[in-house]
Amino acid sequence: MRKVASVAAVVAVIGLCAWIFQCMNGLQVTGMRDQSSWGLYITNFMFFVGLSAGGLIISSAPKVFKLKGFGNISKVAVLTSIVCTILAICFVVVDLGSPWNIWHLFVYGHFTSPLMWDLCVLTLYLVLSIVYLVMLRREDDAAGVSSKLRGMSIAAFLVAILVHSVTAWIFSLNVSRAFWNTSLMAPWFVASALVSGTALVLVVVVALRRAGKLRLEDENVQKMAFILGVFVAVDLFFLFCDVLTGAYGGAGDAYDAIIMVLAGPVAPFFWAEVILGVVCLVIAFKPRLRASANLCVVASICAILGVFCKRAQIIEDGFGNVNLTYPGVETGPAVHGADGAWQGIGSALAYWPTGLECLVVLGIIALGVAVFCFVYPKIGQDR
Amino acid sequence: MKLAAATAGTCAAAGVCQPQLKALAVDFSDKAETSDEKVFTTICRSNCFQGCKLDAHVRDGIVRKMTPSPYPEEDYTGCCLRGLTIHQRTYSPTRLKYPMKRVGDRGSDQWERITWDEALDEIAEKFTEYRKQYGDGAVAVEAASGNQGTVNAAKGVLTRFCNALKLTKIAGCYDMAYGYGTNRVVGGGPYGNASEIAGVKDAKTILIWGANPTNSSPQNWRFIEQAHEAGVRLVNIDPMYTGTAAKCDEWIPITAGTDVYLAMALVNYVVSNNLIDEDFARTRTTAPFLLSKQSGKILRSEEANAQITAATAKAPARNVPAYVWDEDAETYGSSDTVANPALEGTYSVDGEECTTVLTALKEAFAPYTLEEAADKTGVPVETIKEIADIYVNQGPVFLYTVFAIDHYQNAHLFGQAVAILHALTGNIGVPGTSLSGFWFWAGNFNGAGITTVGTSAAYGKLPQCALAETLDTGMTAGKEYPIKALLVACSNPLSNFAEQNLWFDTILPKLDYLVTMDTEFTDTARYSDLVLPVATWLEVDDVRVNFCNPFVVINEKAIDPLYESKPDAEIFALIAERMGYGEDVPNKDAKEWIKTFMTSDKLAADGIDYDRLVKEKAIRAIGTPDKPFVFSEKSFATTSGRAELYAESITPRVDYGQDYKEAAAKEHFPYARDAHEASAANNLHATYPLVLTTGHYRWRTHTQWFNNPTLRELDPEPIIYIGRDDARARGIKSDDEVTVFNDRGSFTLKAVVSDAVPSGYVNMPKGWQRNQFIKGSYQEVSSTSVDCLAVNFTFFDALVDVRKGE
Amino acid sequence: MQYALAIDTKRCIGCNTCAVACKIENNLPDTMWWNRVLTVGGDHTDTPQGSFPHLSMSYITLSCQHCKNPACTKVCPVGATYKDSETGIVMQDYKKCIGCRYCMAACPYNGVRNFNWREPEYTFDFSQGSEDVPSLVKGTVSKCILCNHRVKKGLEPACVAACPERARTFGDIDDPNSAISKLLASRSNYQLLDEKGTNPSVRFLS
Ligand SMILES: Nc1nc2c(c(=O)[nH]1)N[C@H]1C(S)=C(S)[C@@H](COP(=O)(O)OP(=O)(O)OC[C@H]3O[C@@H](n4cnc5c(=O)[nH]c(N)nc54)[C@H](O)[C@@H]3O)O[C@H]1N2
Ligand SMILES: Nc1nc2c(c(=O)[nH]1)N[C@H]1C(S)=C(S)[C@@H](COP(=O)(O)OP(=O)(O)OC[C@H]3O[C@@H](n4cnc5c(=O)[nH]c(N)nc54)[C@H](O)[C@@H]3O)O[C@H]1N2
Ligand code: SF4
Ligand code: SF4
Ligand code: SF4
Ligand code: SF4
Ligand code: SF4
Ligand SMILES: [Mo]
Repeated sequence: MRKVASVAAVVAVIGLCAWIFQCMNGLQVTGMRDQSSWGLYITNFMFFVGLSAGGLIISSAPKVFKLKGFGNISKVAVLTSIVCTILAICFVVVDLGSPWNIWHLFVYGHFTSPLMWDLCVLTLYLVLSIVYLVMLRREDDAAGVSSKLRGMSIAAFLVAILVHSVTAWIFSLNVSRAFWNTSLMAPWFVASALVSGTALVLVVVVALRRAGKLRLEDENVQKMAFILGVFVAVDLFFLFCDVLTGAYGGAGDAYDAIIMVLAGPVAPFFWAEVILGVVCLVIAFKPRLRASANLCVVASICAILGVFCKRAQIIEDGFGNVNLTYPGVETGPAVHGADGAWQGIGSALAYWPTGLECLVVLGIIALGVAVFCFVYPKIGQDR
Repeated sequence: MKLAAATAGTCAAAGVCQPQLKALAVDFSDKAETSDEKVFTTICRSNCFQGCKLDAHVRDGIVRKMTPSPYPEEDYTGCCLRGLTIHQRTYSPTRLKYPMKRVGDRGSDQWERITWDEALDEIAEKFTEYRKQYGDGAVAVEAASGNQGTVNAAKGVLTRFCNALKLTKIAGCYDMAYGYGTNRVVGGGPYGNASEIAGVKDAKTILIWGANPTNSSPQNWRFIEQAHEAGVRLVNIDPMYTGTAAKCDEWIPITAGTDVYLAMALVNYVVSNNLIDEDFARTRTTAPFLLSKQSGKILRSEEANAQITAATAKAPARNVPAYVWDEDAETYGSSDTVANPALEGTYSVDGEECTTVLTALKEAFAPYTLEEAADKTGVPVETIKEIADIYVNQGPVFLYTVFAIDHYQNAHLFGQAVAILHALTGNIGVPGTSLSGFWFWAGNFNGAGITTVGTSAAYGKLPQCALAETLDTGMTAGKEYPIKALLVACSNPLSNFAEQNLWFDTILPKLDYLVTMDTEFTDTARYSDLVLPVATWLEVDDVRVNFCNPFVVINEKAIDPLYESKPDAEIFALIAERMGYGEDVPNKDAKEWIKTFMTSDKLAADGIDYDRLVKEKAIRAIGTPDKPFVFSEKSFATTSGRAELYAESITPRVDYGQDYKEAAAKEHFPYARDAHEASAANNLHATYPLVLTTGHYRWRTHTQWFNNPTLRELDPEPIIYIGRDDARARGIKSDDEVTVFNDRGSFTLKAVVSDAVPSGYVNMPKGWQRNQFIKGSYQEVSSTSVDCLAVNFTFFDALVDVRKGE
Repeated sequence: MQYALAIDTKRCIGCNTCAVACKIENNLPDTMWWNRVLTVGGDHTDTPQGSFPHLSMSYITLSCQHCKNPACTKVCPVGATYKDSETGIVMQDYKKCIGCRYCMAACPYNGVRNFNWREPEYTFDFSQGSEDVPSLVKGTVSKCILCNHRVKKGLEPACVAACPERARTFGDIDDPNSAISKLLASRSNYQLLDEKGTNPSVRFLS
C-alpha cells in the first residue's frame, strides 16, 4: 500500500506541475475553447461527484432502511466517498481560468448560480461524510447501530442524493443546450451515481481483500454485484426514456440532439455506454458469472467506464449541439497551434483533451489514491 | 417563363421602407474622443473606386484607429473593413522598413539592408547608363492603381519623372475595354460613361450587369439599397449567385462571356419591333444621320468635315453637324437645322446613295435573333423580352456594370452594343441613367501642373500586356526597343498582370534591373533587385479627387514616415536629382504640389481652392446634393455631340504596332463574337472545361491588405469555389486541396463547394500572393492574349480544369 | 431603459466592417471576435442554400444579445457578469470573474462570450481603438458590452457607426419614442432563438 501511495504521490506532483504550467500559460493549453468551454475537468467533476455520492449511498442505505448491509464495507465506502468529493472539488479548481480569484466565491457569492449551490452542498456533504466516517469509526467500539449514527446516515444519504442532483442541475437548468435541458437529468444522475459509486466500492474492496487488507465474504461481493446490476438496469432505463422521448417526436431540437447522440461524432461514447452497461447486467444477473469475484470486478469496471462515457458524452454532445450553426469566423485561439486541428461546428468532436489536461487529471486521481492509501489504515476494519 | 426570382424579394411596401432612411441616420463623429487624441482627415486611396473619407485617431504619436469621417452629405459617409485597418498597414510587422538589396537569386528572399544613399546612387547610375547606351526608353516605369491619391500616385510626381526623363511609361491595360467600346458611342474616354451614384434614386430600374457591388463597391451599394427601399427595381445579370444577386428582385444567370449576344439581340429586338424612343433617337443620337453606302462615311458639309480634320487630341471636334433627311422638305439638310429628320430610309444625296444610320443599324443587327441569343447566353427568350421591356417601359435604367465583362476579349463590343441599346431607348443622358457603376470624374483640377515638364514626354505606347513580348523581341511597333530596367511603384505587376509565368520565363530573365517601391514584400518586390520602402497613406500629405463620389478630399499627414520610408514624390525627386534632373523634378513639400493641383481657372470660377480644401477637408466639386451629376445630360463628348450609333473611325486604344486594320473595318457597328477562350465553342473546352473567374472580394483590394493580420483572421487562406456537380465529378469535397491548371500554369489551394457556382465554372477571390498558396498562383493560368483594338487584359477569359490534390 | 441593437438583414451585406470596427475599437487580441458575421445559407461562409439556380443567402451578425432575461448572469457564481440596471447592458467585470466559464455554457448564442484562454496576444505592440476600454485579463470571460464606454459619452457603438449600409441601429427599446423603437414598430423583426426565453435585445429586421 505504501508503494502504491508513493507512486501515486509522484504522479500527483507531476499533475500539480502540469496545473501550475496551465495557470501560467492559461487554459489555451487545454483543448477547451469558446465553443466548448468545458472539457475533461468538468467531465471528471461530474464523474467524481457521482462516484462519491454512490459510495456513500450504498454504505448508508442499509442503515437508513434498516437492511442487512454488504458486510465489511461501510467505512471503505465512506472513505472512497470522501476522497472522491475532494477530487471533485479539485476538478472544479483546476478548471478555473482564474483560480487565484477563488476567494471571490466567498466574498461575492451569487446564489442564483447552481454552481454556488453545488459548492455549498458539496462542502456540507464533505463535512457530513467526514463526521460520518468518524462516527462509524467510534461505533466500532459500541454494539449495534446507534440512533445517532442512523440519524447521521439519513442525513448523509439525503445530502448524497442532493449533491448529485445539484450537479445535474448545473447542466439541466440551462436552456442553452437542448441536450442538457431535461428534468430527467437529476434522477438519472443519481442512478448513474449509484452505478459508478457501487462499482467503485466493489472494485476497491475486492482489491483490498486481495491485498489482504480487508476481510469480506464472497456472498457480499455477489450481493453488491447484484445490486449494481439493478442500478445499471435503472440507469439504462433512464437512458431508454431519454432516447425515446427525443426520438419519438421525429423532428425538432430534442430529436436533433438524440440523432446526434446516436449517430453523431460522439456516438461511440453512447454505444460504449450501452454495451458496457449490458455486459455489466449480464454478469450481475447471471448467478454463475456473478460467483466470480474477478468477473464482478470486470462488471464494475464496465459500469464505471460506462458512466464515464455518459459523462464525457454530456460534455461533448452538450457543446456539439450548438444552436447557431451558421458558418463564420471562429473566435479564439486555434487548439493545436497554427494549423488549428479544431474542425469546426458539427464536423467532428467539439472538444478533445490535450495531453496536459490528461496529466492534470491523472495527477488529481493519483492524489486521491495517495490520500486513500494514507488514510485507509487509520480507519480500522469494520466489525 | 418568369425571371428567376431572387429570394430577397422586393420591398413591396415602399412606403413602409422610405421613412426610415433618415430615422436611421447615424451620428458620425469626427471629434477627438479624449483630450489627448488628435484626429486627422485622410482618405482611403485603394483602387476600389469608393473614396472613403476617414479619420485617423492619433494618441502618443500612434494611429490607434480609423473611423469613417463624415462627408458634407451624410449619404456619402462610410467605409469598409479595409479602410478600418489602414493604420495596421502602416504598422504592419512585415512592412518594408529599409532599402533592401537582393543578395541571393531573384525570388530567393535573401536581402541586405543598404542606405538610401547607396540605393539612390545605384539607381541613378544604372538608369543613366541604360539611357545613355540604349535610349531614354530603356528605363521603363510601371505604375498602376495602388494609390489613387495625386501627388504620390501614378498620376502625380511619378508621371512628371517619366515625362522629364522621357522614360517608357507602361500603358495600363486594366478595365479599359468596356469603356473603349462605350466611347465609340458616347465618348468620354474609357471611364467617362457614368453618372453620379446618388442618381440611382431617379432610376426606375437598376440593372446590375456583370458587377458585384456588395463586395466590390459597398459604398455604392448603400445608394442602391436605399433606392431599392424606395421602390426602385433591382435586376442582376451574373453567371453566379452572389451577395448582390441575393439582394436583387431578380437574378438572371447568364453564360459567362456571352453578354454581347444578349446586348445585340436586345438592340435588334427593340429596333425591329419599333420600340425605340424616337424623339430621343432623333435629337440626341446619330440615328437620322445619313451614311454613305459606298464610303461608309457620314455625310456632312465641307465645313463640318474641315472641322473634323482640324481637330487634335487636345482640342477635339465637338457638336459637328451632319446631313439628315428632311422629311418635310424631302431633301437633305444639316442636323442642326432640320426640325423633322427621317429616322429611317434610303436616300440619295447628290447622287450618293445613303441610308440613315438607323436603317443601316437595323440591317447590321438583324441577324441577332432572340433565339440565337437565348442559345448562346442560356437566358430564355421570354426573359430577354422582359429585359427589353425594362429598357422600353421601365426606365430610366441605371446600368450598373463594372469590369467583369471587361475581363473578356469581346468586352468592347458589349460596351458598344449596350451603349447603343441605352441610346435607342432613351436611357442615357437623363437623370436616373448611367452606362456604368464606376463613375470616374477627373474634374477641373490642375493635374498637368504636377505632371508636365515643358514638352518633354514619356513614351506611353507600350501596353502592360505586351511587356513580355517587347522584352523578348527587343522590338516594339516594328522598331528596335530594348528595355533594360523596370521601376515599379503603386503597382504589383508580377501578381496582377496576366500569365504570371511570362515573368519567370521572359520578363525577369530579360530585365537587367528591377526596382520596386512599395510598403510590403509583394510578389513583385520579392523578385526585384532593389526594394525601396515608401511611406504609407497616413504618413504623407496628399489629395484625392474621388471616383464614385463627387468630392475632392484632403489627406492630412497623421504621422511622420516610420523607419526609413519616404514618400514616393520625394524618392522620384531624389533619383532625378542624382541623374541631373533635379530642377525638372524638384523635391517639393507635398503641400506645394497640392496647391498647384488645386489651382486652375475653372476651379477658381467654382470657388474651389487650396485654402478652402484645407478648411473644409472635402468639397463637392461637381453636381449638387439635390441634383446629382448626370453624365452627358447636355451633350455627348463625341464629334457629333450625339450618341453615335455608327462608329465612323475605329482606332485602337493603344497603337503599339499591332495589326488591327481588318478588325477595325468590322466594328462600325458592334457584332457579337464568342469570348476568346472562355467559351464552349473553343477547342480547348474539351480539355479545360471550366471558366475561372477571379472576383474582387471584400477581403482585399487587389493585392493590397494581402497579409493584413486582422483580415487574414477572417479570410486566412486562398480558396476556390467550385460547383456541386463539378466537385462531385472530380471527387472533391469542401476543404480538399485542389490544383487548378491549364497549359499556362497551375496553382494549388483549398476548395469550397458552393451552390452559387454553376457547373462549368470555378471562382476565387483574387489578390493572394504566391507564398500564400500551397503552390503557384491563380495568375499563372490567365492569358495575355488581348483584343487588338481594346488592348486590355482579359483575366476571366481563361479555361482551366481542376483536380484533387497537388 | 434597455439599450439595444436592431440589425436590418435586408441591408446587411455581410461586409464584416462591424466585426472589424468592434475588434479595433475594443482592442481585442488576435483571434478574438466579439461580433461575427455569419452566413445564413450553405455550409461555408458566403455560400448559398439550395441548388442552382434556386438559391438564397443572407447574413446575420452575432454578438451578445443583451438579453432581458439573460441566461449568463443567473449562473455566474460571483456576479461577474451582470445586467446593468440603468442601461440594460449585460456587463462583464474582469476583476471579479473566476473563469469558471459557466456563463459560456449557459448562453444559448454560441461564440458570443469569449474567454481569454491566454494572456491576450497582439500582433501590434500598441493598443488600438479607444483609450477607455478596460484591458482584457487572462483567465476571464469578455464579450460585447454594447460599447458602454462610447454610449456613456453619447456616441454610437463602434459597429453601428462603421456599418456602411446603415444596417445597425442603436437605442433604447424601452422608450417607445426612440428611433429604434419606431423602427421596430414599423418593420417585422425577430429575435434569435426566441424559444430559449432569453428575450434578446438585439433584433433582426427581416
Ligand atoms: N487574375 C486577375 N488579375 C487581375 C484582376 C482580376 O480580376 N483577375 N483584376 C485586375 C484589375 S481590374 C486591376 S485594376 C489590377 C490592379 O492591379 P494593381 O494596380 O497592381 O493593384 P494592387 O494590387 O492594389 O497593387 C498596387 C500596389 O501598390 C502598392 N501601393 C499602395 N500605395 C502605394 C503608394 O503610395 N506608393 C507606392 N509606391 N506603392 C503603393 C500596394 O502596396 C500594392 O502592392 O489587377 C488586375 N489583375
Ligand atoms: N473589395 C474590393 N473591391 C474592389 C476591388 C477589389 O480588389 N476588392 N477592385 C476594384 C476594381 S479595380 C475593379 S475593376 C472592380 C471590379 O468590380 P466588379 O466588376 O463588380 O467585380 P468582379 O468581382 O470582377 O465581377 C463582378 C461579377 O461579375 C460576374 N461575372 C463574371 N463573368 C461574367 C460575365 O461574363 N458576364 C456577366 N454578366 N457577369 C460576369 C462575376 O460572377 C461577379 O459576380 O472592383 C473594385 N472594387
Ligand atoms: S477599400 Fe474602398 S470601400 Fe474600403 S475604405 Fe477604402 S475606399 Fe472605402
Ligand atoms: S457592417 Fe453592416 S452591412 Fe456590414 S456586416 Fe456589419 S451589419 Fe452587415
Ligand atoms: S446573449 Fe448570452 S451572454 Fe449575452 S446576455 Fe444573452 S445569455 Fe448573456
Ligand atoms: S466565467 Fe466569470 S463571468 Fe462567467 S460565470 Fe464564471 S465567474 Fe461568472
Ligand atoms: S456594440 Fe461595441 S462591443 Fe458590441 S459588437 Fe458593437 S462594437 Fe462590439
Ligand atoms: Mo480594376
